[in-house]
Amino acid sequence: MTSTLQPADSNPPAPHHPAVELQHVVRRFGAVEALAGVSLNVRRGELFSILGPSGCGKTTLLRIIAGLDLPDSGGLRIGGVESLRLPAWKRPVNTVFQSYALFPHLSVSENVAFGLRMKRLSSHDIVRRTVAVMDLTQITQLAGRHPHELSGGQRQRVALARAIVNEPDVLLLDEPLGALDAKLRKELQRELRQLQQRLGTTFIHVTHDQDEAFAISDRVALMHAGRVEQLGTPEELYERPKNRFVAEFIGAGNFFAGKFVSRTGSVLETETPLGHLRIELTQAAIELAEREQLHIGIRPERISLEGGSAGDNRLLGQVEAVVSNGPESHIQVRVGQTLLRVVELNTGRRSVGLFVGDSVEVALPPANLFLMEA
Amino acid sequence: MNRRLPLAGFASVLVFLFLYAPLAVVIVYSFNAARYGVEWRGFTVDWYVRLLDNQQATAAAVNTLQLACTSTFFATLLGTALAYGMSRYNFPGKALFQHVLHVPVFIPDIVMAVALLLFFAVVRKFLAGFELGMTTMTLAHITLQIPFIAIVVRARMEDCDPQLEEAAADLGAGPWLTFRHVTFPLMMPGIVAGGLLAFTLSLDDFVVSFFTSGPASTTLPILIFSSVKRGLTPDIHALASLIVLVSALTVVTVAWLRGRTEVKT
Repeated sequence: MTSTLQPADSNPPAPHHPAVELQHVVRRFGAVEALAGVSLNVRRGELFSILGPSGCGKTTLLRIIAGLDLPDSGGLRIGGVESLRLPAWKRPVNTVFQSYALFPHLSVSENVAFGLRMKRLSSHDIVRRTVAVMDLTQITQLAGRHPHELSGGQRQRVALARAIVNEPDVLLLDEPLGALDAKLRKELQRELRQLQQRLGTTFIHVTHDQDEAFAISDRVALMHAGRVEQLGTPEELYERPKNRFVAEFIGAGNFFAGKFVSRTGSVLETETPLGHLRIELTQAAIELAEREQLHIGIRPERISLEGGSAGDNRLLGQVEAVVSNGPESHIQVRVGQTLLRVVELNTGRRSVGLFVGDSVEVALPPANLFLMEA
Repeated sequence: MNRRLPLAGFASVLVFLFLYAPLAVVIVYSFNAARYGVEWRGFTVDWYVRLLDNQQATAAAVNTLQLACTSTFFATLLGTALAYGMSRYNFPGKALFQHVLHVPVFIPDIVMAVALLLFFAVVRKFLAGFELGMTTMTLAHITLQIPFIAIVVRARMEDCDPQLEEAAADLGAGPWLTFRHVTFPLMMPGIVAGGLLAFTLSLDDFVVSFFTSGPASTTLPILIFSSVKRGLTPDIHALASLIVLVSALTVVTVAWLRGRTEVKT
């Protein structure tokens, strides 16, 4: 950030300020509320992903941070500085656009140098920084080409180089790998993460791809219909989803209702369509247990069909379907009226295969069951 | 399935003949030594040389070029501004305006010419000294050219990713720098193509020029028309050939510029 953009008496942003703070941001398009009051803080130096299905408002949020769109109400601070009144070209952020938006009339090196030229740096500095960043992103040999002569992956690198050469406080990435094929995507995910750790820059990354968000992020905000449903580390979102939407968006699961019976410390006794179940609660979930109507879930791979261990909830079920994709088997087991989805790794330990119609003992470890808000 | 239909080649030869045979005939006869008639009397470049000595013809050529350059310059300026405004801003009646803009393109020249003549007559009633001549012709040609330029430039702008301007702003370019370094360079091929199109329109326009010209503002098409009334002569062939050459060069330049600067995605 250039000092001229700040009030004269302010010091450079103190390190304790979050990189980006959003306060109850609302954005409406006609009658549609694209953002229905979003508040979140992005920490300095983290790779923060905004994850959600298309139309959830995640790109709008990114555009508001970039200054390409204005909220109807709410607040935005970048590095502790109130930023809503700053136009896009004065904000200390740069964007990697989903379509890359490379300038077709400029060569690769001219594209990369664009931001520095706009800031009127000396030509010596422009060359030095452009060359360094092109080297870092491995596009040096493409310097003289024009965007239409590049492959998708190469364009992606140029877009990235064009943004980071400006050394922004925050780098915004809008589905940066969305247009690439699966293999290249995996490769670039790793590179993106390495680059972020090397630069130490705050990255805010928008994606609809749960795998991508989980592969590279420090923290993830899962958005749905203009709201943040849950914000946390990838593990938190997977292990302790706040509600059914989060649980279903991130991975598969088995969900059923339950009735409160009793609670002793962190151990909850419930009555469910599967039968009587004991649940080992996390600290955060204890408050949820005090409700009459409980929403219970368990991940398919957390259910055991191989006996389990002492203290597990044990139920009797019947195998209804078995599908193997090689490394794992997807098994459907009927317990009472409920169909449970179970995933088992094909480790070779099972001596006799499972077949449709077999009776099996289903073990649900109490610590693997979780409670959701709704 | 790339097999050609047996008649396709033949048909395309016919179409080419149909299009270019008259032009070829004019060019060939411009080298014919015969003073009158269509009999071939041997090759000569005399008619071209004589054209240079023909003061009427050179004056008309100067008029034509001056008219084409002036009107193209102003029409390009106005048409480009119009295209930019229409693709960047919303205003009441924009949809209607877009349709109205196309009207001068398909309205018959003769109607346009009569309308302009009447309009100038009305203006002259209120503005003494507003006589028919180069000024009225230039104004008439600008009127004729603006829609073509605006349409070409507009089409070019629609082809460009609007996100490019956002990317420029994101990279620290304010509105003026964005226009100078991104929008304008991207519009440029459209401006050049539109301008050259307008230039050729002005160059060989006869109907509108004829109606709005004054005694001292004869252009080449008008000169040819009035000479032909006195019979076809080889120097007219030579003149026509030269006009064909200039027009063709312009069109080729347009095509070349398009191919060179086209934005590939």
